[in-house]
Amino acid sequence: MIYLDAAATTFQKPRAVADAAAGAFYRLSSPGRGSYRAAELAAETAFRCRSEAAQLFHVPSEEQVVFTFNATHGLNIAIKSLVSPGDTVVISGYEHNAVVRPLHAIEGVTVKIARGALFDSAAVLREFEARLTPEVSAAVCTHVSNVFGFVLPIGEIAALCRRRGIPLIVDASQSAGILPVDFQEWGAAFVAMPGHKGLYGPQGTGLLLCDHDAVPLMEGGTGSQSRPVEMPDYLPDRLEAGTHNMPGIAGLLEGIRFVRRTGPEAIACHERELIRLAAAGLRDEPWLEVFNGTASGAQSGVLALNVRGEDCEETAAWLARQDIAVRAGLHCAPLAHETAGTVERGAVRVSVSVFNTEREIQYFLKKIRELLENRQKGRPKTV
Amino acid sequence: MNDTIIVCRSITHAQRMSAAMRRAGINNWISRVPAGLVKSGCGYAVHIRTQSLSQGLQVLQREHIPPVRIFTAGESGYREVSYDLS
Repeated sequence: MIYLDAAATTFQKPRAVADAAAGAFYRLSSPGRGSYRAAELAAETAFRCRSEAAQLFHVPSEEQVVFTFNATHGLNIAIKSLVSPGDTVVISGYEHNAVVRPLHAIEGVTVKIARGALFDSAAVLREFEARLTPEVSAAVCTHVSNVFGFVLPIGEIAALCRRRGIPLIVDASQSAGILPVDFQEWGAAFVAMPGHKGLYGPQGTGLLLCDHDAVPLMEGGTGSQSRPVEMPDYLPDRLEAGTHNMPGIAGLLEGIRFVRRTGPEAIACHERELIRLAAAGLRDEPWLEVFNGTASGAQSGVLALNVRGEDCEETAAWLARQDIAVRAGLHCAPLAHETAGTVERGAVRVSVSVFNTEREIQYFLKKIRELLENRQKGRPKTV
Repeated sequence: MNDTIIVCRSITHAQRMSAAMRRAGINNWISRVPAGLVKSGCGYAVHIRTQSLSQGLQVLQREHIPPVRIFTAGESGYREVSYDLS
C-alpha cells in the first residue's frame, strides 16, 4: 500500500515506537501509583516523554505538558477552560470540528469567523485583526489546515492576541513535529496536538501544553492528594484523571525522540518537496482542480484535489483499489471547505509523512493519469 | 539517618525537582511520602542528605520549583524544617 493519509494518522512509525509500546506491556505499570519498580519505570517513561516534548516545543516546565487521548481531547479541555456560556470567540475559517463542535456545545456562544482566502496569510491576519475586539474572550486557530495544508500565520496571530490580551488556543494537529511550535514565543494559553500524527506516536495519544488555569474534563484518581474530593489544583494531575495509556506514552516518547533526532526542519523539507512534486505533476491536467499554495511556506505536506465532474469519494475509492490510501469527503472540517468553496463537493486529500518517497508520489501521479484516461473513455462513472 | 525529605505535590513535581538537583550534582532519590506526613494523602518526595539541603534549596529557588514541606528524619522521627525561598 502507498499510504498518503498522514494527516489522519501517520501509519508508518519508527520501529522503536512499536517496540516501546509492546515493551510497555511487560515492563510498565502505572505512574504515580507506587514505589515498586514497574511503577517507577512507568513514572520515568512518562516524565521523559513530558521532558522531550517540553524541549521540542519550548515549554518552561514538564508539569505544563499534559497527556491527552488525542488533539480533540486537548482542544475540549482548552475550550471549556476558557469559554463560558454567552462568550464571544474568534476562530479561523479553517477549523476542524474538534474546535467547532465544542464551541457549539457551549450555550449562547457567539463565534466570529476570521475567514481569508486559501493560502492568503495576509488576508487571514487582517480578518483576525478586525475581529479580535474587546468583548472577545478567546481565540482558537489551527496552525495548519488539515484539508488544504494551508499554513496559517500563527506567530502573527499569537502576537496580535498578546497585544490585545486575548487568550489563544492553537490547534497544532498538523504542525507538531513538522513546523516550529514555540509555546513560549507564542504565549498561547493552550496548544493541543495529537501524538499519532507528526510525532509518530501510537493512536490514542495526545499532548496539551498549558499556560492557563484549566478546568478538568474528567474527575477521578490522580495518585496524588487522594483525600480531598476536589481534583488537585496543579498540573498535570489536574487534567490527568485515571490510569495513563502507558503503551501509548512509551511509544510517543520514542516518536518524539525520532522527530528530534531527524529534525522537524528536515521532515518539513521532505514533505514539502513531495507535495511540490505532486502538485507540479497535476497542475497542468485540465480535468483536475488542484489546491496548491504557491507562496513560499504557504503549504505543508497536504494537497487537496478534485477530478472535475467526479465525486471525490469515487476518486478515493478508485485509488484505494490501486492500493493508494487517500482521504476524501469533508475531512471533519466543513468550515474549511466552506471557506475554500468546496463544501458541496468535498475533496480528495493527499498527505505525506517522512516515510513517503518520491517514487511513491510518481506512482500516485501515474495512477491519477490512468484515472483521467479512463474517465475520458467514459470510466469511471461521472456524477 | 541523616535524610531530608522534600515533600512534592505530585510525581511530576518530584521528578522535576529530582532532575534539577541532579543537574546541580546533588544526589537524591524519589519515594512515596510516609503516610503520616501528608494529611491530604498519597504524595511523592525527594530525599537528599541533610548536608545538601542548603544547596538544594538554592537550586529549587533558582529553578522555581517550590517544595510543599520539608522534614528531616532523625532517631526520634521526622521534624519539619522551615525554609524561605523568597
